[in-house]
Amino acid sequence: MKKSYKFILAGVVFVCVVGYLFFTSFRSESVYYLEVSEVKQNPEKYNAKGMRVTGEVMPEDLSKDFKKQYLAFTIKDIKGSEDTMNVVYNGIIPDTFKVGIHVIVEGKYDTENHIFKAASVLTKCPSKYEADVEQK
Amino acid sequence: MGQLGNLFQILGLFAGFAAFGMYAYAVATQSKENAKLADWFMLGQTAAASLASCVLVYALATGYFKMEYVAQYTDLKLPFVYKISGWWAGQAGSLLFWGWLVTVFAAIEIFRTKNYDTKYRSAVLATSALTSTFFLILTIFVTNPFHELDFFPPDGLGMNPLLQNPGMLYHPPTLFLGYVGFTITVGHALAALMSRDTSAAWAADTRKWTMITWVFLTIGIVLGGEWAYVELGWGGYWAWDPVENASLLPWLTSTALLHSAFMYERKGRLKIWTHMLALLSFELCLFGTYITRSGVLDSVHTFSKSPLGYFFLFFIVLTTAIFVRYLMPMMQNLADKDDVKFNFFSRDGLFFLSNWLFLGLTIVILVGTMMPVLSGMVMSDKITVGIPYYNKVSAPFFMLLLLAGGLAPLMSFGGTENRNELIRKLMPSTIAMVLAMVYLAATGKGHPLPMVLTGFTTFSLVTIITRIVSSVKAGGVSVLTSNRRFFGGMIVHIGVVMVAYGVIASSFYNLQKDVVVAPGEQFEFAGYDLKVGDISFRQMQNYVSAYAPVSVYKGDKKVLTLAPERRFYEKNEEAFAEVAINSKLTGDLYLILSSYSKTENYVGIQAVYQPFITWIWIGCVVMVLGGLYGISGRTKRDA
Repeated sequence: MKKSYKFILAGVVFVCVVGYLFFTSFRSESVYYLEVSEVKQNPEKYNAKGMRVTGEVMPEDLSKDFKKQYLAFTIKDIKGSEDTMNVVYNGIIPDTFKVGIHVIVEGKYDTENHIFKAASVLTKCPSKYEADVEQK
Repeated sequence: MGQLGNLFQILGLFAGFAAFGMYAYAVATQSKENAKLADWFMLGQTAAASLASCVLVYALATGYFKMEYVAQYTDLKLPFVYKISGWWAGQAGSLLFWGWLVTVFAAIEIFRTKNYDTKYRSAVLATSALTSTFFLILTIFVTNPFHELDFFPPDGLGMNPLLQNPGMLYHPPTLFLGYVGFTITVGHALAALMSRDTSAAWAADTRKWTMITWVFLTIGIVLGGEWAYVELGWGGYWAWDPVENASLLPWLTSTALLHSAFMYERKGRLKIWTHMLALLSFELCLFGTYITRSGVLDSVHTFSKSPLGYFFLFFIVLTTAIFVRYLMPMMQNLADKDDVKFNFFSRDGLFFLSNWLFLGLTIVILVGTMMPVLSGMVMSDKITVGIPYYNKVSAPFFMLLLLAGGLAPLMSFGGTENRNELIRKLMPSTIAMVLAMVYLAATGKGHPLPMVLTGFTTFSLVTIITRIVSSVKAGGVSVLTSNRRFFGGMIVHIGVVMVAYGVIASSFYNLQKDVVVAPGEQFEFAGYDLKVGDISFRQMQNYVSAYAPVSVYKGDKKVLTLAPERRFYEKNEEAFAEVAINSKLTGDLYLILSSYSKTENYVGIQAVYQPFITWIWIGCVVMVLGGLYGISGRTKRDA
């Protein structure tokens, strides 16, 4: 009898602690995970938490300055919509960054200048290095 | 050549079906003859999968670009070792590699369990046959490495430069060995359930398998971190990326499994836990593959989207259902006897508690990883969590695990010793803990979280030492070799403590600086003066390197020269940074050539100082050696 009481107590404490940890961290440390088209629809809503957006790097409006560590580019929705979004980023430019690749940008959308200010730019790569072999 | 490889695959598939069917039949009828026939089919599958793998490796080594896979991952100029590593560099090849490993492990089990009960061993081997056949189905029908193009390209596309690192030779194979090994453990767990055997025989029998698997998983994970550290050039080794998490999850559950199985064997306790942890470790290995190969999550590692994920999901559900089907009727028999006195302040209690901690940690990391998918199900917007989430939620778990790992060796089973005795034994550790924290506070490193973590780590270290010293005092040095299981465990814990120090120091006390200077200028960083030289170039086998020699001065004395590079590979337009690292036990000086221009005459350097990071790698080696020591020789009862 005494044992099962202990077990239940331990279980309850455990669930509470994990739950508490989870919710506090979740509240403060989560961001929206979006496609370009979704950001364009309602940027203000998502700015509250910040967001992470996936897109394909377009050849237009691309400017790189290694010395100033400045990168400006445009990304296109990868889920089929025609929406595009301008992104600026200050920081070390990833080696694998180039036109045509998929990137994940994290940051906030500046609704006045219609530009996404990225705090980080992640290029999707290593094992995803499967190009189609074409006959030349 | 592709047809030949595929033919072997198909032969392997049929042999696998036959082996599985025969084993299943042998489980039902206990027929020795059937089991023997099944053994032959299983060995046939091993042979077929081995031959298929030989064909693939041969094609990779000789540059047979007509096979699409070979053309995708290699080219003529690729150094030979990396051509071979193409076997596991891509989707299709790595699945063949995985399936092949399962067949090899099964073949080992066929001989090792020769004299075991027919029903039991047939169930073990049926599990392996099912798994290996599943992988062959994937490599034949979903993503076939032997697929041939209708033309012969003159050259391949080459391997991603980031994969051209010695890490590529060791990291994937060790990780896969870690993933595959649980097939055997879970097979035994299932076999015991099917035989309605509640004894600890299966746990004792798989101890070495599980430990070796765990060792490979540990090496695989740490090598992955080390690789990211030296190759990816952002100065870190762990980013809580879905793929990294996917490898950590089975590590956490299998660490719990090792502890649980110990309790099962010695005390007849935590039986259901042990079964469930064996299942979870197996399924989480597959689950990791599901999330990385299905495209459900965005990760820097993910493979291209394919229906592969659904096959994995199906297989996970199927195998879990089978296992649970046999576990349910045995629950009553496996449950802990209620009359056994249970005390949280005993070694048993801490083992039990640590199971919960490992499971809790697994859950919060799993939920975090799957957050985009889970939130998409219940909300209109997808939500994701980043590095701060993981750091925040995992820290308390790690803290308590360190504490439990520190307390347990000084406690007895059942917690029968008197409290004063225990307090006396814990005095040195408590003093050391306080001293470590005071030291950090006094040297201006008084951030609460790393301070508490360091305190607990130190506590853990000193209890382990106290325990070893008192054992040696009581029983002489010979106890260290006679009770290898216990002291092997202690060595693993020392390794964990080293890793913990490395992680705490490098996460909380690292330094970072970005500079752009003209060649010849110098800047101050982490107590050093760094003088940046002019850019030079050199031609290597398949790339051109641009490097900046940086002279490192301590005071007026030049201590060394580091040369961070950017490499231009022939098949890639963009340059890849190659970092320069000077490792010392007290910390690493890590330099990245972030940018340069000959015409504008500047060099951009990112400098990182990672204190104590080497201890992560050393700790890993110690953990591995401890694990191997624990299973070496004959096992004796714990003192």
